[in-house]
Amino acid sequence: MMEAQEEQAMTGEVAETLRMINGAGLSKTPAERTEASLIERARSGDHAAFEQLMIGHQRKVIATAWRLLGNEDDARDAAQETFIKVYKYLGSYKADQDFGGWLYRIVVNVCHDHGRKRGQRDRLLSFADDRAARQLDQMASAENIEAAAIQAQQRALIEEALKTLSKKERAALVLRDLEGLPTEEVAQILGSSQATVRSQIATARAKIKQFRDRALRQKTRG
Amino acid sequence: MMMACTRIERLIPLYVEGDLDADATNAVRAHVNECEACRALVAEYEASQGWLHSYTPPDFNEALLDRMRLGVMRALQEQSVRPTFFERFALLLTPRRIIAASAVALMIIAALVFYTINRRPNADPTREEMARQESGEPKSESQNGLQPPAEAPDHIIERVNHPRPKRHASRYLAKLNRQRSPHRIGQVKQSDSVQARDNRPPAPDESVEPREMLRIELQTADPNIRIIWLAPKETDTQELKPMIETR
Repeated sequence: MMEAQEEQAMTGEVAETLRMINGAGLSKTPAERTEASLIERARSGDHAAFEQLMIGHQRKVIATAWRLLGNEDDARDAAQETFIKVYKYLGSYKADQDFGGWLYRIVVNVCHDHGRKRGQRDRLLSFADDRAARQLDQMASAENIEAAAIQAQQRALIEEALKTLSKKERAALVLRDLEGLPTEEVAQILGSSQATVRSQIATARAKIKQFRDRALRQKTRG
Repeated sequence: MMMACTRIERLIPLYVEGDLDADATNAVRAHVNECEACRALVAEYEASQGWLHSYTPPDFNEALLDRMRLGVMRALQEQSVRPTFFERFALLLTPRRIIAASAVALMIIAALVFYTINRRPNADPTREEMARQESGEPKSESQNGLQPPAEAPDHIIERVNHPRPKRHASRYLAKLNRQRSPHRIGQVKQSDSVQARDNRPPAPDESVEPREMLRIELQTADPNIRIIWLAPKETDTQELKPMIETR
């Protein structure tokens, strides 16, 4: 009887300690604590803190935007707009939320708006040429030129394949396969159920494969 | 028992990246080990996924990132970027909340409609009649064989608690005016609803003396039906023929 009471008391103590730890944010890693503090400061209008926050996430944001939009200029504009929105809506961000997931959601929404505003303009060819030229400039040695050209061509081809997907399919595929997020998180970011996301991902993968098969067949014939 | 190829083909896109649960993964694996066509399909999907994974973004240099950051900081300093009330409100509008709010609104509307319909008197005349019979009151005219006169104009009979009683009087007077000369129409118009309903005296400075109206009200056995008769006082007796005839 006494043992059971002691055990119960200990369980209560453990639970209380856990509550204290969570309440004080002690369960977070140092990096998360730093981020939380930066968010708090940025929320109160500290631009320097917000800039620090931006530095920590800028590469992820611009890379995701690039994968969703397919070109560097649009990706830079979308990343800029994303950070302005992040600052604007920091007040509605809850401390217990995953900041990364929240950020992804804004990136995806901004990219969707961006795509809608500009229309799905077909700048692929000019952009691919432009990008290939830029990459070729960056490659100093002559032996890299061929590799860079192949890489640029491949990117352009994948971009073409991604264009065959719907907006939602592309977002689900980019987040799951290219950003490597688990399906559950992708579902949260996109505001859909896991089943819907799985279905979108399966369809998107099938479409990409179909496109690749067709491209390979054309190449073989050519 | 092995799953059919068509079913497996649908699962392969998810199988190649480990998006299936343990049971489905085992089922696909077992099938693929046995079926050569499906094994080939898995290999094709794996190659396609490998190709997709090569879609890496270019190496964004620091200068580009600095430019982007600078643009953001400038925007933050130049303009107030705090969300407006509507923007904050729009943030709350998730699809689930919209659906929930719509459902609540529909329920409220349905409840209001139900309440209004049930509250309306005489919604069911038979119910009232039954209540009267229970209380021992005499039957209504219609039940006693005293039918309302067929020739009584509809616009004269109105319900006591009709929400728009003035319109009835106006309609009657408008009809009356049409039968009279234009000279008298003005007089009647001036005195129509004011005299008939409110019995207010006419304004002393009016150049034309408004005609006084005769108002006759007959209460039927049904407390909700009252017959109101409006007529100019100097109307010929010919015009004052009874509108209700009793048998």
